[in-house]
Amino acid sequence: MDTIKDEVINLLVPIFGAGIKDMVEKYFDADNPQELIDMAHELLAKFMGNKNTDKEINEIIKKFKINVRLY
Amino acid sequence: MRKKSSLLFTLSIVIFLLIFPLISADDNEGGLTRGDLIIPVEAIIFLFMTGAIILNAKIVLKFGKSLYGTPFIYILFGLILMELTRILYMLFDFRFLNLSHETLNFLWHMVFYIGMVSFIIALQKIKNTAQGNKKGIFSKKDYYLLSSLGILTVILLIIAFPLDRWLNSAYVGSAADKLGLQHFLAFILAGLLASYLLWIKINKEYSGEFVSTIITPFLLFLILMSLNHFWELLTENWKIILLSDEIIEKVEQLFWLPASIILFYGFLSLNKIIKKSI
Repeated sequence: MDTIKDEVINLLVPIFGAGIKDMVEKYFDADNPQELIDMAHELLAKFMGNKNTDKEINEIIKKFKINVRLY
Repeated sequence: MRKKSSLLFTLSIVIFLLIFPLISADDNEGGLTRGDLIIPVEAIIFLFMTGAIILNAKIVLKFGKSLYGTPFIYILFGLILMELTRILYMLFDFRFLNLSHETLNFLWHMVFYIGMVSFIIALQKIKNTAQGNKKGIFSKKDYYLLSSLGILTVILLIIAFPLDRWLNSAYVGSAADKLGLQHFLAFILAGLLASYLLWIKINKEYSGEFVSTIITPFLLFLILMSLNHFWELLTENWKIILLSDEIIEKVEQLFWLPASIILFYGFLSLNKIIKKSI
């Protein structure tokens, strides 16, 4: 089963290219979902705006039923 | 951003005023060049356009064929064609292109249209993504489309030479020529492109900071290009302002120089934001 980290990578790679995978692998931990979600949200918002990003990130939050906040 | 835009606009006017005294109708008969262009100005245009192309290529290299990278592949192609139009003029001025002035005019407009179409496809993809469609990744369809545009450009460059005489007899002086049809086509494409740019700018909450950074420079570029076509319409087609070819071409450089600097600045800003974020 995919971890939240895999899910974030699966979301970001088609958008930003394969290079983003190494960055997420290297600097982020699946044990810290808040940090992962913050990073993904910040990056995606710069690409597709806040409204589209909230939708994408909320889907991940719902799927993993994690207790994180969107800033 | 508004402050930066007014700064860019002021810069354009300053450049315009600085170069204006350099414009003269010196027909360089038998010289190294035809005297249509101010060579140092053309060299600066070439440098800034090349700079913009390199900065755009850096984005393409970083993001590849991803959803974010794909529109920049089309923009890169469009930028290369824009630079090609200036290279054609440079080659003509240095007497490397053995074409009539009218055929060169026709040729650069055709290459310009293909570049504009490439920009429009890029912005359509950005708009689609902003509307929630995530199918904009570089596909086989994009590969064929870009290849077709590339082949069309090469064909145009090749057929311009055998068509030179025909174009002069069939097109020059025709109703389309007198009306300035080629400029109206450019205006239509510029209008279409501007509508996409404005949509992206207005819907910032759906398109994000990465893309909106280059919207204002692109809009300014479009305005300057439209002014360039309007200038040609007044001088070459409608002949409301009667001037020699040497003067007309030199004034056109006044539009291209700030346009190339603005594009370079736009891609430089975008690269900085990307570097800071990823």
